[in-house]
Amino acid sequence: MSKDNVNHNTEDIILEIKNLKTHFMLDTGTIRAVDGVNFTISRSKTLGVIGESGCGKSVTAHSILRLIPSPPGEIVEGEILLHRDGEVIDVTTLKPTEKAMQNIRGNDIGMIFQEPMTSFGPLHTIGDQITETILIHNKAANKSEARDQAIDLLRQVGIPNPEQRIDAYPHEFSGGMRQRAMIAMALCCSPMLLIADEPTTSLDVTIEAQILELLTDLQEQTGMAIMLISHNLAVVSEMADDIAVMYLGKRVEFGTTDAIFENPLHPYTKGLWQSIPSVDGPLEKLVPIPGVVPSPRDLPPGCVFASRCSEFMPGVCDQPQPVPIIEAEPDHFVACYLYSNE
Amino acid sequence: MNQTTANSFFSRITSNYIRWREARAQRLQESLYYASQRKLVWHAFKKHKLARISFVVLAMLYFVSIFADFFAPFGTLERFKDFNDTPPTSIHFISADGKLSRPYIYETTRELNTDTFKYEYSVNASKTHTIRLFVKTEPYKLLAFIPMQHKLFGLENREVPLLLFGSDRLGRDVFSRILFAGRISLFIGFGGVLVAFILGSILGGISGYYGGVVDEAIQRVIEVLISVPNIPIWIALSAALPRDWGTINIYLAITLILSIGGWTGLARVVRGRIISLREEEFALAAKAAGASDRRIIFKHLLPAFSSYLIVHMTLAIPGMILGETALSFLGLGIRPPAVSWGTLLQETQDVNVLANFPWMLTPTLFVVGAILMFNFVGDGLRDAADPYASR
Repeated sequence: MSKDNVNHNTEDIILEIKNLKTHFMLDTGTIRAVDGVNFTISRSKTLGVIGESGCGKSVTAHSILRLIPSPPGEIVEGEILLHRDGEVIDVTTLKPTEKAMQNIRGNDIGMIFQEPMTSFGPLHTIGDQITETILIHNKAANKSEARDQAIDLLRQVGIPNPEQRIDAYPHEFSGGMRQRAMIAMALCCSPMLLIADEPTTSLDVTIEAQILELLTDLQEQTGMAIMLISHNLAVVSEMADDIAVMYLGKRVEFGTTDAIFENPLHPYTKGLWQSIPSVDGPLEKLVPIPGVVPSPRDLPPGCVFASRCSEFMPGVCDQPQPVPIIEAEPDHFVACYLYSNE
Repeated sequence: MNQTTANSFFSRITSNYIRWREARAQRLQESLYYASQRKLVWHAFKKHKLARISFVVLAMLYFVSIFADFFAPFGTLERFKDFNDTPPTSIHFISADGKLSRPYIYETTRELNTDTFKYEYSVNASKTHTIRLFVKTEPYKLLAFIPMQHKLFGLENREVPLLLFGSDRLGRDVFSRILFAGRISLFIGFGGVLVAFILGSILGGISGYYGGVVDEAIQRVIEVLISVPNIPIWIALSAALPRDWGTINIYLAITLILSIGGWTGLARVVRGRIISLREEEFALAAKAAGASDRRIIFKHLLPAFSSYLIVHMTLAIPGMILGETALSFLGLGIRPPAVSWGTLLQETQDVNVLANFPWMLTPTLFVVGAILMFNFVGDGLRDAADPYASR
């Protein structure tokens, strides 16, 4: 167990990401989209990954499934360890097109996307696409079994009348129903880990609540782990057991949900908290984080947040060296000089 | 029934009829709201008159050439010994006493005019032969396996020549030979387009989906192939075919040769569409669900523009037909005794033939007709398959 990770029961670990670096080699320079990220996901637990657009949340998720377009994208360093039936597979050593990788996708790790509108091919019925996934991964199944299974899955995710709706085309489904169908498809091979990449961003709030509830229920039933990527702090606080806060490809803070909400340490996390309105508290002025995100092409030396940080310490934060990761309290890590004893 | 009741009766019928027609149009309109794409395309295609007519005529042409054994009065190699280079036999519908009769012909005899050294044909008006339907002939096998002994039409006396389009140098019936030739000329288009389609979609799909070095390589090959003129390449390749190959081998080889240039255009189109479609979220979702690249390309991306591919292929067939005709005309394609429209035209390379026996050019009518009709059908399909066209 690496020293900068929340403690997990070793047997329950499903996925460990160690010092993952995914870079995009462009003609105009290297973009370090993910630059040294660590975390661990365990059975029946939900990891929330939050951060603003472009901070590397999705790239991390795509790296796990090796969906990074290459070239220009490349995993230059780090390990993604998938624990499956007692064996440990380092996903980074597999080729993206390899059969073993295709078996991991969908089978061990399912993924649902932000845009349920466009994540189904428009040409085949919902049922065809779900049964196709089942048939790919379960060679033994025949068509009618797969169809029955697809109907069960649709029922499980709360699609009314699944026997009829299975033959509907994606455009005949509403956004919420499509996201449910998407979840059904991701679940069809009972994956150990479900990556939900902003699953509710394009849905309205009532549907959002239903989908999140559905995910929680399914997690209770199947014991799968969920990696929930979102920029919606409320969603993450509701769902997650652990939270990783990302900024410009770095994991700036990591800890249990309670720790991070009760006691945010990193100035960026604090800034995020101040920038959301609270419903029940007294009306306060929202404080935006000043400045803009620096271009990922030429990151500042030292702490990447230094240029926007309210507690910037000249001569410390802009030193050209990696920011140390400090365990400020048990199971609560932060990458900030403020908590450094040196 | 008096005048007024009769009038109101008819006006009721007409108004009923008009109402019925409007209701039908209304129903049709409503059914189009939730018709499938295929139905919409079919509906639009039917409205394209020229395309519809061409489609029917083409279908008949294909039907007649497939069953040429039955439709053609004679075989490809059947000769009328003393009737080489004979002009078309004229068919009469009015009998000698001025009444409409079943079509019949007069028996003709030929004599050499020793002054001009030309054959002269004289009609023997006393000897008539009526053209009969389903006339009995020697037993033959339709499509090589259905035993039959009737032809669609002919004369009782098989020795008397009935030459709708005249006869050639060896006294063979040009009409029958044209029908048989359609078997090769019309179907080589399909074969060629099929090969072109397979090559084009596989190479175009790979090129577009993977990009990078593979894409570069395939695109450069396409550019080279496009920049080389078609005819010289075809000539060079078909001249290289062994002379002792059988008709079937030659036929397949010619199909391949014709499709060499044919796949490039399709491959480019497929590449372009795949590039735009592979960025769609559903392609990524399919990948995340564990689908292989092959499955994504051929099951999820290609079908997204299948209507376009069909139109493209329809419009490519005439090129193939023309190519085969050109090659055979030059003596490099299908070789006698097999017949294609091109080989039939070989004889017309001689200016003497053109001047004296112009009926030898009738195969051109079929070539031109078939190509025009394919173009009309392709046009109709293109308009019909265009989702943005107003309906």
